[in-house]
Amino acid sequence: MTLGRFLVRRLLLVVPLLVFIAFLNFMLVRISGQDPTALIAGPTATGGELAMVRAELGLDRPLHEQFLVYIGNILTWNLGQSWVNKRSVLNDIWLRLPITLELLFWGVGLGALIGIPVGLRAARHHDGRFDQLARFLSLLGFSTPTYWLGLVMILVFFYFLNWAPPAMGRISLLMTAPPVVTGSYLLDGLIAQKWDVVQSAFAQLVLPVTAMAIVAAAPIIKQARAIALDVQGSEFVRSAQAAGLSGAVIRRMVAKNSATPVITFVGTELTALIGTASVIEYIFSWGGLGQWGLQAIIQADFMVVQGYVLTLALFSVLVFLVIDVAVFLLEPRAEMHA
Amino acid sequence: MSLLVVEDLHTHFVSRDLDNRVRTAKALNSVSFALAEGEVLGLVGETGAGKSLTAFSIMGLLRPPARIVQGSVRFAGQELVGLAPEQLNAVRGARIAMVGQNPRGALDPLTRVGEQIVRVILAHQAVSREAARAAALEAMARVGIPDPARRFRSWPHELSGGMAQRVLIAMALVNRPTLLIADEPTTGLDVTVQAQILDLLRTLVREMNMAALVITHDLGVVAHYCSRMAVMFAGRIIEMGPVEAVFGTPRHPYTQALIAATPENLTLDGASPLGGRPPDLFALPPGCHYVDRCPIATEACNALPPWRSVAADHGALCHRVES
Repeated sequence: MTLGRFLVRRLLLVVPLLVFIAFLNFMLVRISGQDPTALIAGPTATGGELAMVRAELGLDRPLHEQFLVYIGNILTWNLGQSWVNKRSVLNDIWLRLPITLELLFWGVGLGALIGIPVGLRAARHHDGRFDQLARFLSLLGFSTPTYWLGLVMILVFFYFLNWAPPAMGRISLLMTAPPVVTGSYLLDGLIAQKWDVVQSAFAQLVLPVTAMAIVAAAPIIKQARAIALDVQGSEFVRSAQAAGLSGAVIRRMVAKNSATPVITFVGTELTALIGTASVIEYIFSWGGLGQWGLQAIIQADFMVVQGYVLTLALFSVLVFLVIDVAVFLLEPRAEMHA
Repeated sequence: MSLLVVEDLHTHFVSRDLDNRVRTAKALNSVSFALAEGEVLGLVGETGAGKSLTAFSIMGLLRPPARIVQGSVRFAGQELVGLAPEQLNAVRGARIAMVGQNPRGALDPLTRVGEQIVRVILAHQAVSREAARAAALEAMARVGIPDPARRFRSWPHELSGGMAQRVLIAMALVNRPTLLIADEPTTGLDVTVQAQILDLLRTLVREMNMAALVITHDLGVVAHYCSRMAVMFAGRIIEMGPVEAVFGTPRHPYTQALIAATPENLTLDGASPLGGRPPDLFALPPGCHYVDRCPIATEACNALPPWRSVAADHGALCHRVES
């Protein structure tokens, strides 16, 4: 099967998946027991006013009708507007998605950059000093609550040592934001060649990205180690040793054969850590998608919640698609399973 | 002079149980044998007797918790036990080669088969890539792979078991080793392919004047392809001698039972399968390991049995055998 046909098949599968997610998400929000009308109308609203608000939001109509309207709107790129501040949901997603992705990609990227080599090396020295240290660090990373880690980092590196800037957003408050190209201040600063912006954006990134990387690295170490141990135990490694191949050649062989499962795992991390990113965004006043979504859930802002969940679903689907393509390109056996 | 001398080899699995007590599985207990240049020795025994472990011990392929606790392996006068991996790598794949029991699992799934042969050549010979490639293609043709140039670019998963085993044989012989260890080379293959692979191995061993250690649980293979045989039981060689002598007048009660259980000796009114189970390697009897199943065991068998020679080159590890 060619890559093109593989992609078309995978993309066709995405459509029913997204419809199903939209439905599930729509129902969950509505049976959550939260009532936005009281929140919007205010504590002094009368029964008549509540009914008016309800009719305005369309909440008085039967559920299936509401859902069909919602799907119809999605198909015309209309994700509705926030009931709290009347802003367009789609606009806010476009604005905030790059902000979250910046945190997520740097964090998970750095976590993978640390986690994969550490995991592979730990497997090579199975049960040795390095392995024990790696296992301990991984366990430590696993068991550290993200919000605590973020707060402690701010306390130590900003409050005590004053090495880091205050955790107030993505750029110094005194700085003018560069013209938006990618949505990342770091990259936009580089494009605009504003070095003070780049420096400030970088300084702001260090703490949240490090927190993210620590949370991401712990499971990556554990998985990369387990995967490499599994590969090392396989028969072809023993037969390579029997053939007298050098340690370096065998190490390369183990790394190459570990690549597919490790890449797959890092991809799932990318989608799984969006929740963690939301917490970090809150602590560092990051202003991304996660912070926005959490706020909407608390305020029963249904349209925003729906838009938020749909974006995450679409993001996950895209990540898995990229993983599948990578596996397809790396694995000579892939075409048999596709 | 002997090419390979294995002397008093003990390989144990040392691990700790949940209460942190040391547990030792004595998988090889004083294995000794020698192999002359050009000689083909068959090593037989039931599953778990220690046949493959003997091969892994010789090749330095043991993985924790298995390790050699005592004994020596001398190859062409050089002691192999305790050698560093880099020094072992000068021997492995170059002067001793091994063919295993699961050919498709023994190939690196992410490297084209021809490249894998080239890799083995380049690990041991100072030749150019082109020369290695030519040698690989020649070796592939020699082991009967049709259209080697096309097969060179195949992925392992595209090969049948028999074809994969041919690739591994090519890989084993490409550096012209003087000793080949064939560890159940036909176990995973179709019956029709088994004979082809065995015949190929025999032809190549003869042509290249190699010595071979053929590990099998198939007495038929030993009878057809080996000149001498050793029978293993619970980590010991319990009988060794020329194939005709061992088949003709087996001395050890276990060997007798083993030969009586082969399909050739089955009759309509009575198969004689081997009774009992192999002993627990964690709690071996102090004397003869076969004592619990032996029909002729006496009180004396609870002491370590002596090696009793019945001929110059035929003997058994048994109290009840008369020298």
